[in-house]
Amino acid sequence: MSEIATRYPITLLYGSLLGLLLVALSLHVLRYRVRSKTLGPGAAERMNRVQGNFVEYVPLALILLALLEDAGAPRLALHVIGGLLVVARLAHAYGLGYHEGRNYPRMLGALATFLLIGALSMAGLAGALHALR
Amino acid sequence: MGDGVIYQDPRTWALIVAAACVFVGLFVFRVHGLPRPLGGRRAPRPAETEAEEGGLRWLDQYSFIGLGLMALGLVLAAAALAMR
Repeated sequence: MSEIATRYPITLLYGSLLGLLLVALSLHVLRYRVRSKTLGPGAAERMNRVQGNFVEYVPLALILLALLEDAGAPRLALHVIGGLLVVARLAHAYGLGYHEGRNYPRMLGALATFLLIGALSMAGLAGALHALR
Repeated sequence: MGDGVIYQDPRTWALIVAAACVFVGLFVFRVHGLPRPLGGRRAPRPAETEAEEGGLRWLDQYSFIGLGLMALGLVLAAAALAMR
């Protein structure tokens, strides 16, 4: 394995899992678009938002995860954050994609994503302020 | 690559999670403000079509989640600081 791969093994793991999820969601959108005549435009639009929402939040979370891994954050903390992010995105995709309107998987998935990005940002801020001191 | 010294202390992580809870809780709370049972006249009037269960409407949950997150963050921060 190359040097870069061993330098960020945890980010590589969760980045890969989330990458597979993005491919699955994207192909799901394609399927719904193709079948939108029978399913109706609402279903295709909802699936589109599932993919759009994923792309809006996951990249920043992965960048922060990589930066924290590089800064020497403990592996356990990064695994907890990465694992929860995968679960949160799955819950959000399920809630938004398969249920109309408000529902708990969607709300909890979004809230967990906000909390995780918030925690990653606070951890990054703490590390940055410590390094700049 | 950083030395990660600051991240090795569990209290640092407690404070990080506490700060994230307060930060996100504040913004979640702002979605709806005080829940209707606590807000009295100042609570925004929800749409007539909104379903109500147990005296609470869906939006009230954001108030309780926001308040809960803020309280959790403050308790966590106090506990982390008390451990010093």
